[in-house]
Order: sequence, then C-alpha cells, then structure tokens
Amino acid sequence: MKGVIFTEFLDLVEENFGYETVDTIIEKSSLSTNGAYTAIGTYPHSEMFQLIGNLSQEKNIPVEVLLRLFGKHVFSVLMKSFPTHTRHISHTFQLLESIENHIHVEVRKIYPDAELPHFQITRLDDNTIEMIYTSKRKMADLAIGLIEGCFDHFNEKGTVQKTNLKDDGSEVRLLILKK
Amino acid sequence: MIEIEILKRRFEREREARKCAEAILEKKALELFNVNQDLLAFNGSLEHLIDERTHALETSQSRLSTLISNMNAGILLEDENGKIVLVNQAFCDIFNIAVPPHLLLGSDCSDSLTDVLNLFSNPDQFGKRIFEVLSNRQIVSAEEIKMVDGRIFSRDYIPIFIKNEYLGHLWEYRDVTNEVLVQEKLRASEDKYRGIIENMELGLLEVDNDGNIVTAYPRFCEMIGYTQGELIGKKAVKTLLPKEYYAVLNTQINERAAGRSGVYEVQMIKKDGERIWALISGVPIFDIAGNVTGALGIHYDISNQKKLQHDLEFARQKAEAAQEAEKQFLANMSHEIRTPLNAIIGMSHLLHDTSPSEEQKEYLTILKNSAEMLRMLISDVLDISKIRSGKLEIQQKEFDVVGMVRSLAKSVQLRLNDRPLSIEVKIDDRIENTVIGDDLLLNQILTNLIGNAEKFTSEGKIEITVKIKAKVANHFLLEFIVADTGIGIPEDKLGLIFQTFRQVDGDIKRKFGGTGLGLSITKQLIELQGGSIEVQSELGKGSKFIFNLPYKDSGNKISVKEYSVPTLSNIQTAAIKVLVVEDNYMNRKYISTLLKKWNITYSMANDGKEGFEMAQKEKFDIIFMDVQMPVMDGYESTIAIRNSKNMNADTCIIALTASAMLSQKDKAFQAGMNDYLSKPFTPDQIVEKIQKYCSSEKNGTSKTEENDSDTEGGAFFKFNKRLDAKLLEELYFNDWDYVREMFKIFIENTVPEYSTLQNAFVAEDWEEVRRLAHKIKPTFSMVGLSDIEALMLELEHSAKNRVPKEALEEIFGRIEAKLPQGIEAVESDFNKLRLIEV
Repeated sequence: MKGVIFTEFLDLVEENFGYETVDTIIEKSSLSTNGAYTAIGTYPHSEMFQLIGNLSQEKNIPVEVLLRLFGKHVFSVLMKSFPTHTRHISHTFQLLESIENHIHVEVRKIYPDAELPHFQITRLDDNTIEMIYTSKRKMADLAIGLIEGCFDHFNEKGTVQKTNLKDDGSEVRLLILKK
Repeated sequence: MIEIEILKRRFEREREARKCAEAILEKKALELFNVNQDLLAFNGSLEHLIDERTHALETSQSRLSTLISNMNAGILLEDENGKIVLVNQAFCDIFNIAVPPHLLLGSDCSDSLTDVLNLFSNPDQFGKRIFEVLSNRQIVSAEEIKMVDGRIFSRDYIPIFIKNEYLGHLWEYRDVTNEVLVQEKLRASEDKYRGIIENMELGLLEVDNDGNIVTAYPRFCEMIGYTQGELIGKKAVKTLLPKEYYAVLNTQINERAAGRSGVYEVQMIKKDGERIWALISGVPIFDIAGNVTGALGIHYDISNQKKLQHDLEFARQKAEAAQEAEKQFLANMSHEIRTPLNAIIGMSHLLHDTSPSEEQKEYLTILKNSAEMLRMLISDVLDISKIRSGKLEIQQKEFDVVGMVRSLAKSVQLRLNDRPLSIEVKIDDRIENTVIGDDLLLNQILTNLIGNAEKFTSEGKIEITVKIKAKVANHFLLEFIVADTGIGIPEDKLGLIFQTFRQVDGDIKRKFGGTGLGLSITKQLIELQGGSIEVQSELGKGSKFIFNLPYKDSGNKISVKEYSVPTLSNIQTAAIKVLVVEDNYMNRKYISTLLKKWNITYSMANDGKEGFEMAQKEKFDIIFMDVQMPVMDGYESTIAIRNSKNMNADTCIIALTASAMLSQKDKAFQAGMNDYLSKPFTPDQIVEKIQKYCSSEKNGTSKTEENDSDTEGGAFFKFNKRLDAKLLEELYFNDWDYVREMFKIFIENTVPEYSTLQNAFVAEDWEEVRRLAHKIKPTFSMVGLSDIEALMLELEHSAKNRVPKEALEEIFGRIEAKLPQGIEAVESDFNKLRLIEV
C-alpha cells in the first residue's frame, strides 16, 4: 500500500483525535516501521488494517465508518495530487466509468507494483450505476468513501447501497444512485 | 511525562520517516541520473546521424547542381511565382544572357522575356506559345523552335506538382540543329531513292497499321488512275482490290504485322474499273523502337506478262489436248483394228473346216499366223504406250501366288498336248500365305516368259521355280525362275534382249516371229514393281530367266478354294431334280446356267401358280422359290404345296428373298419354307443349300468338275470401276461366257423395261412404277450395280406406301442420275468381253 495513504490516514487521525491517539494505535499495532511512514514509500496493507482496527477499538467507532470517512478524505487528496489525470472528467459517473480503462491504467504507469481492486461497472439507467467490487483487501467501504468524496468534489448528491456478494467482503455489489 | 514520551516517539518516528524518505529519494536520484546519462548518449548519436544525413543531402544537391550546370541542354527551373530557382550556363548561352547563372536566382523570368524574343525566327509565336504552355501546365516535349541565327532547339516543359500542388516548372532547351540537318539529309536521300524507284515504273504505296493509305507516290497514282488526294486516308484494300483477293491480302497483312516482308501477285482495280495485274513487294515499316507502324508496297504492273503467261498456258493446254487426242486415237484405233482382226482369225479357223486344197490350207495358215502376229503386235504396242505414259497402275490386292503359277502351268500343259515338251513347277513350301501385290502384272510377266520358253524350246522341259529369296518383317522378296532347254542365246546378244524392238537376230525373227517387244515389256513391268530381272543362257542348251519381286505378306493362309469354281463333289448331281420358281428372267438365266454347268436336272416356273402346278406333276429334291411374284407369290405357292396332296408336300423349299430383311424371313418360315437365300446369291450359296437339303442316299461317287478356262481367263479382265467387281467375281467366278450372257440379257431386257418405268413415272402411274421397280430391281446386282438395286427397292417401297410425289421424284432423280453411267459401264464391259471371246 502506498505510503501516502498511511501518512494521510495518520494525519486525519491526528487532526480529529490528537497525536495521543495516533501514538496509541501505533503503539498497539505491531508495525514493521514502528509507525514511521513516508508518503513516497510502500508498506504492507496489513499494517493499515491494524491501525484502523485499533482506532475502531480505541474510539469505539465501527471500521466501516472509519473507512468511509477515510475514503472521502483520500479522494480530495488524490484529486489534488493528480490533477492532470482527471482534468477531462466533469462528473461522478464519468469518473466511475473511467476507473478500469483510464485511471487504473495511469496508476499502473506510475506504480507498476500497485495491487488494484477490480471494478465491474454497469450503467443501469441515467442515474444508476451498478459496481461490482472485487479485491482480496476487502475494503469496499473505502471505495464507498471515495465515491462519496467524488460526489462532493463535483458538487453532486448521491447514495451508495452495499450488498455483500461474498460473506468475507471480497466481492461486493455497490448500487450508486445519483440524485 | 507521558506527553514527553509521546513527543519523543513522534520525533523519533518523523526522523525515521525522513531518513527513509531520504534513502528513497537518493535511490530515485541515482536512477534519474542514470536515465539522464542514457539520454545524453542517445542525443549524441542522434546529432551525428543528422550531421551525416545533412552532409549526404548537400553532396547530392551539389552533384545535381553540378550536373545541371554542366548539361548541354539549357535548364531553367522556376517556382510557382515565376522566380528562378535554378538555371545553368547552357541556358544563359542559348539566350545570350551575360549575367552568371547564380546571380539570376530569385529573379523573375517574365521580366527578361522581351529581351530575348528577337532571338527567335518568330518572336510573336514564341511569346504566345510560352504563355499558352504556362497556363496549360501540361507536359510539352520536343517542340521545335527555330532561331534567327539558324539554330534549332527542341524544347521540353515539365510542370512540377507535389500532392497536386503546383510548385513551379522546368524548361529544357536542347540544341538539335545537327540532328535536324542530318534528318533532312536523310529525307533528301530517301526522296532520291524513291524517285529512282518511281522512275523504274515501280509504284509505291504506304499504309498505316489500319490499312489506311498514308502516302501514294506519283507513279502508283499513274498506274492505278487515282490522284494522290483521292487515295490518302482511304482503306487501301477496299479501294483498290477485287474481293477475291481479300484473302491473299489478309495473309500478307498478318505477315507485315509480324514484321515480315513478302512478294505476291494480285489483280487491282483502276479508277476506271479496268483490272491490272500487279506484282507487289510488301515490306513492314518500323519505328525506332522496332514496332511496326505500317507497310510499304512496291507495285509493278505485270499485266502484259500475265497476258503472255495466259496465252502460253492456253497454248500448252491446246498442245496437251492434241496429245491426249492422239493417245485416245491410238487406243481407239487399236480396238478398231482388233475387231476385224478377230474376225479374220475366226474366219480363217472356219475356212479350215471347209475342206480347202493343200495350197489353200497353206495360204490359210499364213493368213492365220500373220493375223495372230498382228494381234500380238498391237497388244504389245498398247502395253508399251501404257507403260510409257505412266498410266499403268500397280494394284495392291491379296492373291495366291502358288495357285496362279500352278494354274498357268496347267494351261500351258494343255496347250503343249502332244509336243515332246513337259512343264514342271517347283514351289518353295515356305510360301504358306497369300500375298499382297499386283496379280495381273505377275500373270502377264509369267505368261510372256513362259510363252518365250515354249516358243524357243522344241523338246525337253520348261521349269518354273518360285522361292522366298528374302523375308523382312512382313515383306517377301520372291524369286521366280523360268528355265528352258531351248536354243539359248549367244553371249554377245544377252545384253540386247531386253531392249525395245530388239531380237537376237533377223533369222530368229523370220523363224519364230514376235514383235521383239515382249521381253522389254516384261522387264519394264518388273522394274515398275520394284523388282529386277536377269538372264543366263548357254547356246544350244537353254535359257534361264530369273526375276524377283517384292510382295507383302497378307497373313492369310492360302485356301484351296481360291481359283476354283464351286464343285458338287459329294453329290450324284445327275440324280437330283430341282424346281426353280422365279419370275425374273435374269435370275432364271443365272440359276439355270449354274445348274446346267453342274449337270443338274431342273424345271422352271414363271410364277407361284405355275410352280404349284409343276409340283403336283413331278417329284423334286429341292425347290428354289422367289417370294414376290405376279399371279401367286412364293408364300401362297408354298402354302399350297404344303397343304395339298402332292408328291412335293415334304420337299425342301428355299425362299429367294430380295433382301435379308427379318420380316421376309419370318414370313417365309411361317409359310412353311425351310430356308432362304438373299439376292444376289453366289453359286457357293446354292451349292451349300443343295448339299444341305438333298437327301443323303443320293450322295454317290465323287464327281469333280474343273473348268480351266474360268481360272485362266480370270486374270485378264478387269471390270469397269463403276461396277461392283467383288460381287461379280463371287457371282460368276470369272466365267466370262456367263458374265457376257448376263450382261447381254441386262442390256436387251432390263434397259428397255427401265424406259417403260420412266414412262410410267411420267404418267404418274405409281402402281405400275412399283410393279416394274420390283420386277427389274434384282437384275441390277446381277451386273454389279447393287447401288441401283437399293434405290429401286426404295422406289418400290415408296411407290407402294404412296409417299408424296416430291419424295418419289427425289428417289427417281437419284436413279436417273446414276443409271446412265451404270448402263454405259455394263455396255462397255460387254463390248470388251465380246472382244476376248475369240
């Protein structure tokens, strides 16, 4: 997992709960880096799960909620980091529909070793998209957060309904409705 | 305290993160540096490549401009705005431009056009043409431009387009003054030779590949009567040739197209319609690339020569006709002479029987001998003239050499009779097959040689030997030897005997007679067939004539039947009684003659009713019954005989049918007949039926009948080509008396009956036509006119079936067309047969 995700996550935790919480969840987790992350590094994604799991316990907030919130935040960070790649995109559905064939293609150019989730996108009607999320990371909620961040970014309103297609959450159906 | 700990850890984490980031960055920086180094290296090689290419381009450009500046042709390259891009020294020289070429670059040509116009012989035209060419923007090549100073230029204009965009043009001026002068000289020289040819009365005509006249020269026009103007552009063949020569010309045109010349003669039509004969020598005209662009014909009027040739041909034909008439006269005269001669010989024989005095007898003998000699002389002269005129045809037909030699010997033996002279025949027993060759000629050769031997041998023997001298594949070389024990020939005369009109000496001539032609004819006959002859002789002891002749092996075994008439060897013929029921006179005559010859007793009935009546009176062993007869036909007669109480109820009845048609056969069997014979039938077939059906108790002692005269005569007469010789041979077995008799009946009966048929046809009495056609029909094959018989049958059937008149007329027309020739052939053969009667 890219280091920027870790640094952004820890910044977000610090911003909302103070560095004490950051220290606590780092100390509680067993991390290869002892919590020293740099945005340009690459780290095992299991560390992210540990950090989020410990934060959930510490603050008594479900992991799903945390992931959504984090996703929403990461979206705005990503938009700032890669403005050229999204210059031609003007609304949420357009972005969603370009993930597989455009965005992921560009990502692989920059990070050849990135392990990306797979999205199968079907436009059901003008205002509905069905998205099948497949990833062994089982982080569909992060994706929901990202989508919500996207709606916010384009000043649009929409909801996302989640249905697990596999119990472990490795395959999830997301029904995205634009209002 | 806790805060301090947290802060410490935070600081530691951030320091760690920074170190880690620094390490990553350092690694990235190194990567970047390496990539940058690679890029620099690549850039360097790229620059080098560009340098090389630029240099090559410069070299090529400089080469091009050097080439252009040094070209003999003046080159001017202008851009789309008329500005000079390139110009060479030659161009400046041509137009007397003093400025060096490189200073002209960029200037406008049209500015200086007026300065150079006065250099051209026709400045206005030059200016106009330049303007025209520039506005057309199309390639112009080899335009000839004349200068005031006498120079001549060939100008090319090439517009330059790149992707359809006009980017300027190129002018090229080449000094062709010398070439043009040379060409003019050539043309002058060509004109000179053409003039010479014209003066030789040879008319020249030039056409293009489509046959259109391009040039017609004065002498040709004079020859054909047209003016040049009238001919140019016209189709030469259509205008000048009669239709019957189109084919000749087409062949010639194809030859020209293939680049070949040829000489031929045709008639040509002059303007006034008169025809002339022309000898034409045609040659193809080529362009520089070697393609045929047209043809030139050199015409020579040969009308006078043709007339002369025609007159000569006419004279030749006249001369030949005269010669032919002479030959015909000779042939006719020989016949004419032979007829009275035969009478003289015949009469002298008769006179012998009128008890003349000794003196008269002596005169008669002289008379007879002289006449015989005269006859021999004439036939020798005829033979010689036939051989000399090349009219003698060598036949290739199958025959039995052994049989021929034996029968010849036998007839000589009969002739020798009481003379102290015998004849012996020795034949190589390897000759098992019949051969293919000319039997008549061999017969004549042997007859001559044996005749000579007989003449010059008073006692002793004549020996004839035949043996195979060589055999290659299926060809024989047979050697014949005729040896005698006669007076022989003196050695110094041996060389003379084969020469025409030469005999050993005058004494011989007086003593033995003869024309002196015999051996000469014999030798020529042998040599004509590819053989040779020699003679060995000892004076007083005898002579030996040895000759050989090539023959082809037929592959067929010699059958004993050949050269013999059918015989009734196993039947006591006298005991057999035959009834012949037949309405046709010729058929009656035919059968009766045969039966007479075999000593068979027979009765004749003219129709079925008469036949039935005779069958009731007398017992017969066999009845031959024609099926179609008036009054009562053969079927009715048979039914009557079979179903009434009479002696012949069980007698064998053989149907004589007109054709081998199944319906007739079936009908015959149903009527109670035992067998049938299809007309025309041969003696063999009659014999076969008699042997088959006549009861065995009558077969008694063998009785062989021989008739030497039949075989002897056989070889000497040949039927007219119009007649079916094979059929006639089968029918009559060379019994010439018999043939003569049958031909006579045909001429005396059938021919008049045919006129009756003609009358009936004109009167459109179809029933009568049918009856007569049926009646006379069988007689035609009896004289070898089987084809007419078939037509008669067709006529009979058509008349019976009442087919439309047109169809009948068509058949009758065919008969009318064929018959006169047939009758003529029968009459001619009949006359010839009468001649050999003596």
